[in-house]
Amino acid sequence: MNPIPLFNRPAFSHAFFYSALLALLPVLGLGAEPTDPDLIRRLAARVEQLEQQVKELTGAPAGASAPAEEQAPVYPRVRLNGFADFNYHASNLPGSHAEFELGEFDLFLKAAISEHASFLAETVIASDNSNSWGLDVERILFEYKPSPFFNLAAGRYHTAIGYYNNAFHHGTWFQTAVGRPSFLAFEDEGGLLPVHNVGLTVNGEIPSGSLGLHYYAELGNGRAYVAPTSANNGVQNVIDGNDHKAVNLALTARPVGLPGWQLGTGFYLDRLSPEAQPQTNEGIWHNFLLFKDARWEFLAEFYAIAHRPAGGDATHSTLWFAQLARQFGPFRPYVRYTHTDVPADDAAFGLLEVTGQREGTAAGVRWDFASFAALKAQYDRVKSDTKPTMDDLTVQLALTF
Amino acid sequence: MKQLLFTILLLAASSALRADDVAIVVAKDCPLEELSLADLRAIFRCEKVISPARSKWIVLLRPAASPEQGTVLKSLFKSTADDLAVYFRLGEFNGSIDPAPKTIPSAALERHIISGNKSAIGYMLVSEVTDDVKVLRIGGALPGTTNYPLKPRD
Repeated sequence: MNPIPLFNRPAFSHAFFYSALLALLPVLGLGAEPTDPDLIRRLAARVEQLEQQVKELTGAPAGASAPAEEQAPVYPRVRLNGFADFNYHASNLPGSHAEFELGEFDLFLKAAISEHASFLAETVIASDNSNSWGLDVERILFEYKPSPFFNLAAGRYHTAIGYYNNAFHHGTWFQTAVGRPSFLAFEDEGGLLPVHNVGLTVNGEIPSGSLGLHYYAELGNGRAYVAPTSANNGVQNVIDGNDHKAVNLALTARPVGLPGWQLGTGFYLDRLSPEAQPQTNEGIWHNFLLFKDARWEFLAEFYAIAHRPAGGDATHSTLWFAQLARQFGPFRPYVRYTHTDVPADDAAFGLLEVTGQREGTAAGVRWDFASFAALKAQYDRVKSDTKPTMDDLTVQLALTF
Repeated sequence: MKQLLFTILLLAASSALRADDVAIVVAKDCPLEELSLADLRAIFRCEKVISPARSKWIVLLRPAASPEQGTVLKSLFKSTADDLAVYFRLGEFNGSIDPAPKTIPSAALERHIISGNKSAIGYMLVSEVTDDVKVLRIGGALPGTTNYPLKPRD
């Protein structure tokens, strides 16, 4: 005798049918009204929370039902982020010691003060080589952004040269490596380039379809080239050494058809007044190529720099670096090569005591052990034709909040 | 009874399959009808910022734990939630993204915002789409069709 098929068994088919209906009730939106006081309280709190989010998104009073575009926004809206790092550093440089280092404590504040205007400030508190605390206002900008095609800012900004300088500012947490490429170091830390500028910067989209073009036009005081022992840190915040202003024009492209790729080029022109040197015309041709997706990160930058002192011959320097990183879960190993070639008779760079050829090779790994904190370890070897080879180890804890 | 149950379960299963697709939605008066996947990715990564209304796109995201965000992370952003958060945070920090996309906790709230703004764009499960918003074709396909790119993956 054949067994009765499962679905044909009366008791099973009834039970299965009602079970299926019960399972489908939530899908059909049918069910009992909430009568539990705790549940009602939780739902009321949730509605209040959602209304508050409506208010934040539209600037409208909570509970308002008019469309977002009809609401009056509420200003000012202030946002504060912070970055910090703590390092262990050891080097074979004569006279150096293995040491723990307090890094930068960076406070980033942005305040929207009207629909198109905002204020930005980035202030860094850090200890210097004298073990004293110092406070630096690294960026301070009044921004006016009436359209995607025209964004104007006035104040102290990061010059739009290359990619690294304008993408990564002082928060080390954002950077894959423990720090910036050596020639892109800040002015008061031995960097060669005009990393900061004080003046006006304009940027915006260029209607270019799938090319994704973006322009930058900047006018500022430019950089002062001074000896490392000088009290002047190189950024001309208040006093410019001459009447000539630095001009920077740059163009970047982010082609829609090449996701992850970005490239850019530009020219920076200034007239320098180096200490105890004749006025010198400076021209910097800057270029970058970037690829970044969820796994790979590749960045290369190339700078050709000409310095022509009044009545003298021009000197030409080349600086470039390339960096490659690959993500493996929370770990991101990386390598970076940096090359600097500066003629010994360069009027401006000579003051910084950085002439000659210098090759830096770095390898490290970054471990994102939490969403907003990372541990990095990096080994550096720097070869120079004017100084002994330097080996360097840095372990860095970087975080943001 | 067996046939009835089979029909109910089949309907529920096929409906669930379509409802899992993620629809890209804009306001009904937005002139856009279709986007390529590359353009869509550029808009949601804030690389392409100008909407057909000649103002900035207002990009809306869903919470990281939602199923639609999981689909979009894999199919559109090709990124993890953490990496995406870092990407937007860096953009806000260096000024290349202003403002970063907002995360909207509910589809109802998202529909409310999008329906009132021609430059707003967001995504939601097909089952959450109502007449208040318009669904865009992506790469020529609508949700529920075979070639539609924003489907959940295992």
